[in-house]
Amino acid sequence: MWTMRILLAGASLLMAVSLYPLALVLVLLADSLWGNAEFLHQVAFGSLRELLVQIASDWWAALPYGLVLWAVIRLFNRFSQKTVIGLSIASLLLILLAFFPPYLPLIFGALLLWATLLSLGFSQLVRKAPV
Amino acid sequence: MSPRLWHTLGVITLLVSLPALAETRVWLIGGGNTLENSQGQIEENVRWLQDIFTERGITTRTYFTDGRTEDETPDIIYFEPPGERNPVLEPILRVHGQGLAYAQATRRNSLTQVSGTTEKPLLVESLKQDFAQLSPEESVLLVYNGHGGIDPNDTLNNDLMLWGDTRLDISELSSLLNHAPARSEVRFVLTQCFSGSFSALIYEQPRSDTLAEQPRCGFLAESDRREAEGCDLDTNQAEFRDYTTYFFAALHGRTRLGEPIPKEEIDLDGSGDISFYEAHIYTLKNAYSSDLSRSTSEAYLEDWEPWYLRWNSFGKSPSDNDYRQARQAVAERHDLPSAGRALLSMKRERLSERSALARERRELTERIRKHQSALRAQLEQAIDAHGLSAETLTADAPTNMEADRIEQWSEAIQATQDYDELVRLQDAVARVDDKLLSAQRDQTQIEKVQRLSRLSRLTAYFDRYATAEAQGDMARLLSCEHGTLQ
Repeated sequence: MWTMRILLAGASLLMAVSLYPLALVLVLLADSLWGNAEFLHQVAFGSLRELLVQIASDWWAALPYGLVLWAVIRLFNRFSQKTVIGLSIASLLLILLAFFPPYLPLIFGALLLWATLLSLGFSQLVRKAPV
Repeated sequence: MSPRLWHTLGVITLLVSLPALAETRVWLIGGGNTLENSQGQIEENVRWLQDIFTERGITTRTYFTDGRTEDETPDIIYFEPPGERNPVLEPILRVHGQGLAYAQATRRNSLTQVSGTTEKPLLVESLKQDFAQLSPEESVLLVYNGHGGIDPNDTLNNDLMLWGDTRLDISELSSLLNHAPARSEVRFVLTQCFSGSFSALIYEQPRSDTLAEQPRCGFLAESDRREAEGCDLDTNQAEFRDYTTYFFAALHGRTRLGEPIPKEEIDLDGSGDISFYEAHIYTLKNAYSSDLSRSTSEAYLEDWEPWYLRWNSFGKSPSDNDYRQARQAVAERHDLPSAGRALLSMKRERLSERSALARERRELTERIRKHQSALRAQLEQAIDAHGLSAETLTADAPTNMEADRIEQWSEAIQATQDYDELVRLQDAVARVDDKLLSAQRDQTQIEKVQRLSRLSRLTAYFDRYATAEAQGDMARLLSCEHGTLQ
């Protein structure tokens, strides 16, 4: 039982830590498809070492936000299914507002979307796990 | 009281009541680190800048190579056009010299009013004394025309390459600037290769993120990892495309060939005065150069970019943003897409063209090497007939031989079968070099559009997301950059 709890806690932490890279994938897609392709430009012509260092540095900077967001989303998940739907709509709205005024940073909407989706998945995991 | 006394008192009162104007004093530091690396274009740049500042009545001190005024020892190397080369020595140097040795010549610089040498220990002492004598109302403009060195593992160790092959790194230059009064504005225009890392001069220490108490700002010809234009052997000023050429033309209102530049192309805010910032924006828009130049405020902006704005390139920036307008101007002038993957594809094509040219150059160089070896082998037979000695046949030998023997050697070379082919190959390399430079300049325009797009969106985001402290820092930098030549 304790082993399963530790495993679930580890999985929860891993999901929290994964929020930034997962959200970044959406940002990089948008940059490549609709933006200036800055990331592709850097991959093709810049220093890969510097790029990796930059991503690692940004990941570290985003970590506190990811952890807090995960904690908040997990808290909301204790409530009804409507809360989950509400969060999903909010995340999609934030994503949309990255492409229209006020042009918010896409990463925020992407973080919220992934946090909602991962939290749903984690909840399924917890329900099935023999704790 | 007499009318004359009233008049005198009135003038004195008027003068005392005027706000103190900051007088700019200029330091020009130029020349190579060795004779072989002290190209003619560097001297031409320093001369032109001296003329500009003299015309404007601005006090200027020039430090150049060995600093000796009563000396004929060559300190400039330059490209001699075909019609001016020694017809006897040229064949010898084509066969026995490396690279462009056959077209190079050396001479003494012809600058006037050189205050001293750029050799590091002496330059440092001179600048310490110069800066210590400044009053707080005076501002510094330091312009460097020379070479830069790079530490690829840590570009904050990049340096200026000074005469006697000495080096002055960023920390040392920063310490030097500290000798100027803390209230004096210090501006620098650094045009050497790898100059971008010198944007760190704006900080207390190069590795700090706190701005120096002394107001500092600057303009750099290139990034911390790229080579700059500005050290050509050719002294034809009509061909110069370096940062100095465009930046100071804008500041002066005239190109180095004397052509006036319409003020509306430079004076962005319509103030009637041209600021350093406006000269820099003009350069970004108009330079057809391989230089990807930048200002210290741009470097600050790029360092500031937070994690949540990285690669967030699909937002729109305000149309009155100087960088957006500059991007538009460059894209239109060079018929480039303004952003995105189309730009990326075009850059790949340009790189591919450059690779093909580089390959062609390597092949030509190899053929030249083989031709030179073959010619030397043929000459070993010919020299015996002329009574010359094989041991003396090197590119340095001519200075040690008598004139008639040099002439015999030269004739022997020109009489060989393959000499004309060697000349043709060497001239072909020169043409490929020109094409390579054009290709590099074309590629830089693409990189410039990419960079200006990024600066444009970062400028818009900065206003919205930067902390009060960062906004304060940026305001200080821009205030310095928006200064003018007095």
